[in-house]
Amino acid sequence: MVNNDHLRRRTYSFVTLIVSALVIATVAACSKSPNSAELRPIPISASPTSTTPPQIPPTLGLSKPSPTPAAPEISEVASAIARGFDKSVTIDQSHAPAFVTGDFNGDGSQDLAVVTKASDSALPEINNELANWTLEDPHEVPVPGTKGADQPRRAKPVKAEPNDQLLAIIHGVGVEGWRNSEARQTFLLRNAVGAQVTVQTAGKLPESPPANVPLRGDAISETVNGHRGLIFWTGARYTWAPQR
Amino acid sequence: MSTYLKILIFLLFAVALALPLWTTTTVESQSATEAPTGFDTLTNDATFVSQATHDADRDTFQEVDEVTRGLGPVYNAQSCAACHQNPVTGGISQISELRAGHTDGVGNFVPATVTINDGGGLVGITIANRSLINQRATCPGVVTDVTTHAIVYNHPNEQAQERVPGAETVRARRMTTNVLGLGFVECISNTTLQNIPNGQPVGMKGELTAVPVAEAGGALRIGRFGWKSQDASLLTFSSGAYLNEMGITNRFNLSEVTTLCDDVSDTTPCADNPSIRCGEDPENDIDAFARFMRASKAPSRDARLAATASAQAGATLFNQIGCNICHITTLTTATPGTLINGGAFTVPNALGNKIIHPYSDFLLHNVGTGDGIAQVIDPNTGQLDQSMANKMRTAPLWGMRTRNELMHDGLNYTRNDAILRHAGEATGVINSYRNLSTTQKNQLIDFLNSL
Repeated sequence: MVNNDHLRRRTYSFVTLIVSALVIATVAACSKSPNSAELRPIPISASPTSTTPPQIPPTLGLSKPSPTPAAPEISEVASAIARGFDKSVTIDQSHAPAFVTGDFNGDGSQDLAVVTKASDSALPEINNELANWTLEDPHEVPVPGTKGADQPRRAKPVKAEPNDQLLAIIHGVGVEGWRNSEARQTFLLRNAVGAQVTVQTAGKLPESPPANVPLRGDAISETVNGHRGLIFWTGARYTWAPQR
Repeated sequence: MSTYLKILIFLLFAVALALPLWTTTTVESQSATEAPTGFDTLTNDATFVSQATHDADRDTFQEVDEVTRGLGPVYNAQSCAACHQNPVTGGISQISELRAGHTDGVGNFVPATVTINDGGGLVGITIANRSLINQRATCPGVVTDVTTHAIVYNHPNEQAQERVPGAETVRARRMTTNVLGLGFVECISNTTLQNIPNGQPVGMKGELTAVPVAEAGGALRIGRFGWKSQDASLLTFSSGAYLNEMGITNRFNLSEVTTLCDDVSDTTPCADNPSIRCGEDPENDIDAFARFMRASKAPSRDARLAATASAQAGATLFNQIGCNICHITTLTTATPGTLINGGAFTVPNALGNKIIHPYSDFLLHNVGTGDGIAQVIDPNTGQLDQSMANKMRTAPLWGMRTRNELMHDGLNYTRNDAILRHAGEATGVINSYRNLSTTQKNQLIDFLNSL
């Protein structure tokens, strides 16, 4: 009997030990669930990009209206052209006006448009497919939202030719606009130098604007090859829309 | 046996039992591996989604829908694959979608209002406050059954075609995106995305979106899909695209854009659960779409070009001049078992702890290319977040070599033009690109062409 009682107690203890160990092991394992949920998004109101003041340096103030800039000096314009185009083009001072300013791309920073002439020796550089500027003909760029706007009108790239007058455009950066040394996004436009050049402010077109032109910024109004029209930024390129 | 010995045995036994369960997830969290890549139709892990299921899901993704199955009334394509196909189903295409709207007196974007069916002096039907302009419509249309030749759709006089009103002067195109490998992107944790701006310089910090997850009752998650990072879950994305691109209502989107010439009920119950309405998607195709994307491999590189000295030098330049600040080269997905999408999806082993190379931070930036369209709802106000109107999500560059039309609107045809179009936050980086020699620019472009 004594032996049987002892055996029963030992068996009971062993079973208790095993069951307890299983319980503890299960609790321990469950305490680290493999299905931990990802952190919920921090409230947008607490987002570092929305609660802190815009962390944009003064030179990159993208949407702040710039103070009225001083009237450009020809030397400043020449300096900007040299910075943007090296020696590939020079200001054509025989043309009046030789340059105009405006916020052509609508980013709140003043841009510069200059009538230039290409030196013949620079044509290979101007037409280089890896040039630092975009060479285009606004007449070949479709107006956004119009029929065929998603299709390029011209298969082969635009090439500058000897004696071309090219409208050079420099997009400004920040409050300094085109004067900013970082302002190097540049364009050379063929078939874009005309007469009676004016800058028309977006939303205040005084003379027979084309119907519903989607202006993003100021437009250059001029007469090219006998036709009055607007040159304006589409968001990707400069295009031409005729005016009545 | 002494009491102490019993306790010791007891504790050792308990530890021995618990240890394997503890170590499983710990080991996984320490051993991220490269995600499988390839432009193929193979599942990324047969233990996650079998090849047979993946093939069936791809078939659903490629399935051409007709008016009798709910297509339209306004739509852009008849199948997912019509826009997501190059070089294999799930890739990119040359197809773009059209968006429009206008700015109000204080410069806020207002989505377009389009009137349809208004010819001949009719009052017409207004589709209001919607920036997406569908390019196709099912009516006017009369359709016969190919077998019986009986008329099965008879709307010869209704006019559902949307046309952009002249007053909606903000107009933009959006190229269709690659969906291959998006399961890995879905499994990037909120925390990973939220930490990215901390590593970006002042003036270049990406903006996060917090967008609702439909299958989690609208729980917010950091957005990552779409040109405005307007979706966070592939199921939500599938549901929205099924309605907006194909006009097919489904269990998360039961209201048609217009009911003009729409014959298929939007109240049909789900085939597998009659207590839930599935509208024009009773078989829950949206689940197959999401599973197809989740089981797809990430886009692979052109291994031969990537191995060239030129492309490798270009990769170094890409990082040196700062392209990788936004086009982030490497991200790691969340640990397997992590609950994401507001708790509606658990990261599987196939997608968890995977290293991917999307060349994107999936955040919004102003690089001077913004389309002016506000699309994401600010969860604090319930209104469109206008601050994002001129920001776009950093385009993932993986698979870039399969594209000709570049940037969100496809308006740049060469790599150089696309690079030069970057401005705004990218001004400094692009000026560094301008300072490269022609040889270096070609190296950088070789690298891009290897992606």
